Amino acid sequence: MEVNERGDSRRRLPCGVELASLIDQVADGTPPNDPGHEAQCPHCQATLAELEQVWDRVRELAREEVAAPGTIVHKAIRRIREALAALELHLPLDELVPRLVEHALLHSERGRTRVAASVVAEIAARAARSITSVHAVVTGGPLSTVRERAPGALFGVGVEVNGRRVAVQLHLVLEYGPSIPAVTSEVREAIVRRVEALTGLEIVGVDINVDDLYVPGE
Amino acid sequence: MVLKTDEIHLIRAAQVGDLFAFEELVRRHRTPVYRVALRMLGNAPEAEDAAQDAFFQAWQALSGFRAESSFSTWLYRIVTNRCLNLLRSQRPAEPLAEDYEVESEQANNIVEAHAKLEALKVAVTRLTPEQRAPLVLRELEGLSYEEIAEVLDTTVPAVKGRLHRTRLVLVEAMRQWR
Repeated sequence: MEVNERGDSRRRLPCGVELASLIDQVADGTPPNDPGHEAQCPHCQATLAELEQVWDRVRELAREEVAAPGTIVHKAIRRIREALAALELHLPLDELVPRLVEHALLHSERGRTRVAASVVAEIAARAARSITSVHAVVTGGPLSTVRERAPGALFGVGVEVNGRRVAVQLHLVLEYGPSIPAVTSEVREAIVRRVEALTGLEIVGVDINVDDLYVPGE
Repeated sequence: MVLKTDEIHLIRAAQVGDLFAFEELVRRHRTPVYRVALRMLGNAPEAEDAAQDAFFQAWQALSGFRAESSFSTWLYRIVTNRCLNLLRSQRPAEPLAEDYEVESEQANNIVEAHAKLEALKVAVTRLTPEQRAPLVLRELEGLSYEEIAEVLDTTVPAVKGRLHRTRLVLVEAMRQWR
């Protein structure tokens, strides 16, 4: 390529055309400044041909398939959960201790199964989320806003266990419109069905706090 | 009607604390976020870490996200800044071209067609971080000048100026591998 000085963005070809303008032409598809000159100028033509070659590589690299490892999702979410858990550690002991020790217990002839309260919480949250008019299940809150939340809402889904009997409390944001009692009863049924089917535990109550309403478009 | 699977719904839900909604957003955007990190940093393990960091940061900053910017541009901004900070802390950027002749010896050993693509990847990682960011966003991710200006917190003319110079440096570097 016919370039004289290095490191100068105003480099010109011997014919006077700026190299940068030819590069932009190839890279961005911008029209030539002087089509008449360019079509006939051997310097311009040679440089354009060479630039096309380089840019073919660039385009090839842009097309190259890049598969993001699936672990990114799990690791990112786990880090968020850990950060939320670390926030909880600063709670008063009487709030914290029950959360740390809670397991539901299933007896069978061949042994006992302990199901962590957090597992029940996760199943309940997913069940609630499957209901159309549930806009959001409050499961933690971005760290920046979580401190501003009312204390009860901080953990989102609460689970109390007594042997194989479990009670669930959760905080929801519902869509504006449908009857709240109708939606919450749908949520209760979904949670009872799902938790009982997946864990074999018995749900004795589902307490729902409707924290907010979501109006689409607002 | 806003569907529960619409991005705007997921963003709003995540903003009020729905971690499942956020997980879905991460799932949808992980490829471009990881790809930018990979092109910026030049290796997979670092790119994976940077992508994770970016999503963690996004979660922390989510309440500040306003719908006037597009969510993907916003994520581009977070991951690009994450990579720029990493690169700046690693070592002072060495200008391209000084030790190039030596390196091109290695390139001759790689199979021809493949070599050119590999050479380009190397050339990209040899740009200074400030040169690399607009090049990756424009040529490899296909963002508009306006979007790049938003990601890099600068103006459209500034982006064009930086790209001008970066493209020259890249063309110059690629000449040596022909």
